[in-house]
Amino acid sequence: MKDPELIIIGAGPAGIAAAVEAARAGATVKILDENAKPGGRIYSQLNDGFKLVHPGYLGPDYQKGKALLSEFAAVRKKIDYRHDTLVFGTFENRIMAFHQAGKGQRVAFNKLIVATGAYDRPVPFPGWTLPGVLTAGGAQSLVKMQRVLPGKNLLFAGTGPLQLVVANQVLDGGGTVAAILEAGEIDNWLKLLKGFSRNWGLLTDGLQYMRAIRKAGVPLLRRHMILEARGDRQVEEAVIAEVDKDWRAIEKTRRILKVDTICLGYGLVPSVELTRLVGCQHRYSPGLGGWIPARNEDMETSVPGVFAVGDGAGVAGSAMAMSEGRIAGISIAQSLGYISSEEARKRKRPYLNEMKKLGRLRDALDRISYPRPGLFELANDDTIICRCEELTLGDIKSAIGKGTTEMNELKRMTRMGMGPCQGRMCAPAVQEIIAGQTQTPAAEIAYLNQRPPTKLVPIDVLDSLPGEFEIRHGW
Amino acid sequence: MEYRGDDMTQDLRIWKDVQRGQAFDIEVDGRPVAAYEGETVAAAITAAGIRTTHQTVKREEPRGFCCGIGLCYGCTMVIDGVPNRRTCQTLVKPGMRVQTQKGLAKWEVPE
Amino acid sequence: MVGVREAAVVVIGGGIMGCATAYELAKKGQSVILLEKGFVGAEASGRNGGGVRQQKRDPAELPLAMASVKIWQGLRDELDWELEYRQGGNIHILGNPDRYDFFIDQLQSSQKAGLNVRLLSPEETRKLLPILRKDLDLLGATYCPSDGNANPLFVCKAYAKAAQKLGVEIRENEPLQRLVVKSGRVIAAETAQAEYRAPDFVVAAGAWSRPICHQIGLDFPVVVKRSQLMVTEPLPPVFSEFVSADQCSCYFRQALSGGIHIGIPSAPIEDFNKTTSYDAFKIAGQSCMTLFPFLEKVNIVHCWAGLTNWTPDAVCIIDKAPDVEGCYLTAGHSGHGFCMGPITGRLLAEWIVDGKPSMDLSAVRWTRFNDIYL
Repeated sequence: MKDPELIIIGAGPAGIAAAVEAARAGATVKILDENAKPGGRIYSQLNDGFKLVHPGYLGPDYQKGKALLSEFAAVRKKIDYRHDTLVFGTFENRIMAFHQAGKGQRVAFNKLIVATGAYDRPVPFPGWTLPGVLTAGGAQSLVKMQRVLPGKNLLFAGTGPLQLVVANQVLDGGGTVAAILEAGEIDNWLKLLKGFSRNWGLLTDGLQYMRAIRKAGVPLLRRHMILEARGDRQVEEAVIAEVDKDWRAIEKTRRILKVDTICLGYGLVPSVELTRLVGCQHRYSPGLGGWIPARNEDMETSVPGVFAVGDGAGVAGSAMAMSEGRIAGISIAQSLGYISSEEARKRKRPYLNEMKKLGRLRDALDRISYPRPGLFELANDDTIICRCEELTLGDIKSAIGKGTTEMNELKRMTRMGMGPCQGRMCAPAVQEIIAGQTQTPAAEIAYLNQRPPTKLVPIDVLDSLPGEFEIRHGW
Repeated sequence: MEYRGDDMTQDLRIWKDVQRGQAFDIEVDGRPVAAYEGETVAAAITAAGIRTTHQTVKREEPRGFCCGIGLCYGCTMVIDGVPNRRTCQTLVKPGMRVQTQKGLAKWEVPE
Repeated sequence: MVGVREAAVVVIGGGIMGCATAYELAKKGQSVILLEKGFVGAEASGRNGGGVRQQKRDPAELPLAMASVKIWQGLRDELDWELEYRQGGNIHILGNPDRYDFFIDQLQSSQKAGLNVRLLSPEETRKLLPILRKDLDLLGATYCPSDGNANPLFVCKAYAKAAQKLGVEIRENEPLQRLVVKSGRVIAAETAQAEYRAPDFVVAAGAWSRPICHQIGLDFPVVVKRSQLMVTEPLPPVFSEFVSADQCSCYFRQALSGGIHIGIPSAPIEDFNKTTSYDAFKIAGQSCMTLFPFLEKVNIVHCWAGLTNWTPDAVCIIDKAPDVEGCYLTAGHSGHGFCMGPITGRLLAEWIVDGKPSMDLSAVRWTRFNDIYL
């Protein structure tokens, strides 16, 4: 079977938009996604067994998602779409390995689009490993996709408009929200959204959410953060406080809220494992979530033929993700010769304009919501930093104190990052810890080496990979 | 060390705007827990008020569901004899056996 | 380049060979400067499978390996660092009739040299390793209970810290630019930071030793190979032996932290790259299912690779350089050097300080290749 001209990893808004544009132009497209259905996180669809009776609770995203998914459905026959499929490695000679339904497979990629999205930023603070502390994304997956409330009395703590969406879904579902803590100044980003209101539906959504929250009597506390989660075997109460402009607690404002669930929404971290593995250059951008691949205006990375789009290349929301996906899809269609450069320019124009407007808004939102120093100072020496290996801040600081200031060496000395999360939950925080301890800008701290597998893969799947190799020895 | 919601008859499920499919029980630490087709194990146990999924190896501390997208490994339990299974990524099946995992659990060696 | 530094010995390379040598020299009162291009133990010494093995060695290395194990037994206390060294045994499962006689011969000659290796029957093999695949065809196994394994992540650091306590200067992130030879003697090692002068130099730079030697007109025949490893998620203790088998390509070792390390056989690599190859995944999966099918649902969590130097006879070199004074070399460990670190450090220190090593090193001499190489 001929290899596809374009492989897309991720069927969220960015990946689908790219697939649609490339397939429409005539390219052979293969799209690999680890979920059961397309849509990614934001346009996630209910599992079989559930039946949607009324889409109201899904909010305005539902309609946007429906429109995109219909475009996808229209070109489905032209696309090799593999769901429940996990890509776990890229290798020399542009070979990629993935598995589906327990069977390992291999494919060569020519053009590649990485659209792997982002994940909730892990924020270590005392008690954050207690059952009952989840991410806003985790809460959303329960409420939206599984229609289950994460707990009886919720506290939201984070920054930016996303946690309002989830809080709303909880309230709509009959749940109780004790309070929503916004680390920054809510008024600032509301003012900001007003400035872009002509082209940005989020403002209306945002105001709607705020209204519902106020109506339910949920306190929305600006310039507040959670300092500690307490409880015997699960969350029983939260210590909160007002914070200054650097997100540092104003001690005398400390108080306790009796809650059983804490949802943390401090932004997202782009999933750049595959772009790093394939060798793309990355730069550190705290406002966009962390390390992101460098890209040109066609969304191509520093590795020729490899493109990155969506939150996985810099957290900027679904509207931006779709536009970026379309740009990449059109550019690739042109480079493969399916459309002329003039036709490509024509097709890209509306999305480039959209991106310009969104870009301005995004930059402005970043200035408000990018993490301030106080976010990385919540942990004390007894706080777990590496959840998998149960390492505390004290353990990490002790290793740094002994002269281990390089992340890969720190990993070997302490086992930080060696667990099943492969460093996702600890490395972003450890980077900031090393930066703080050594007075070095975080951007100059070399990150953990990236190797396959980019996610855990079972041995029987590896055994089922194609290829025959003679037994040989020699170690 | 198993934790249970203080009221096992309470159900944190949201019934608004959706219809659920086939209902059946799964077994959690030997006790029947309600589940519905299409739910993840994490959802079913959360709905029942069960929050502790495992106890850590070194410090023997309780952990639970956290990220919901299969990355944090906070939600792992033993499922049908296989340890370290992410409950947020595993769909319920009738007769499924789920156990709170204590540290490193034994992997069953096939006969 | 800023200034000139002097020491009794300059060691190039911060792997187990370099760190052990620096430590042993310091124990004998020598001033030592060690130059390491990255951090100690960053390369093969910190990446290998952890095996500390005597059995299945060429007779040239066996006495050295046995002497090294004696040092390993006391190393944790001597270096005051937990190395997770355990003598859990090494077992090689026999299954290839064409290789059977070779292994028996090797076993018998090792026994004559005093090694406590013995042949196990198929039943005894299964009793020792009940997790072995039930329908695996096997002829038995060679088993050495005094073999073992340790955690490679710690050993170099442990040696380096102990060396530093005795006054050794360990200079990390300082790659060697060149050795300087004058009147037939190595007189200096140059880095971007300084020029290091000493009466004696030790080249212990693993896969990088050969380019260093080339640059002063010396050579030795080695092929650089990439050795790859993977580790599973942690399991409760299942086996304590270091396991290899005729029936599959990989070796297996369970670390104290619970993960099973799977070693993929080395293959020549042109560009010194340490990426993980596609084959490694397939080979590891296949080997696991061949020997230990209970691993079928266990996940692989991490992979990594290291670079090893292979001589034509797979036996190492521990020797003074021919034709140039003041230069010692330890290289070519052919994928099984980890065990040899402690004894190599000790013998080189003896050679340099006392004038000759306390064991016969003629079997691992540099010049043995002249006949085949020239």
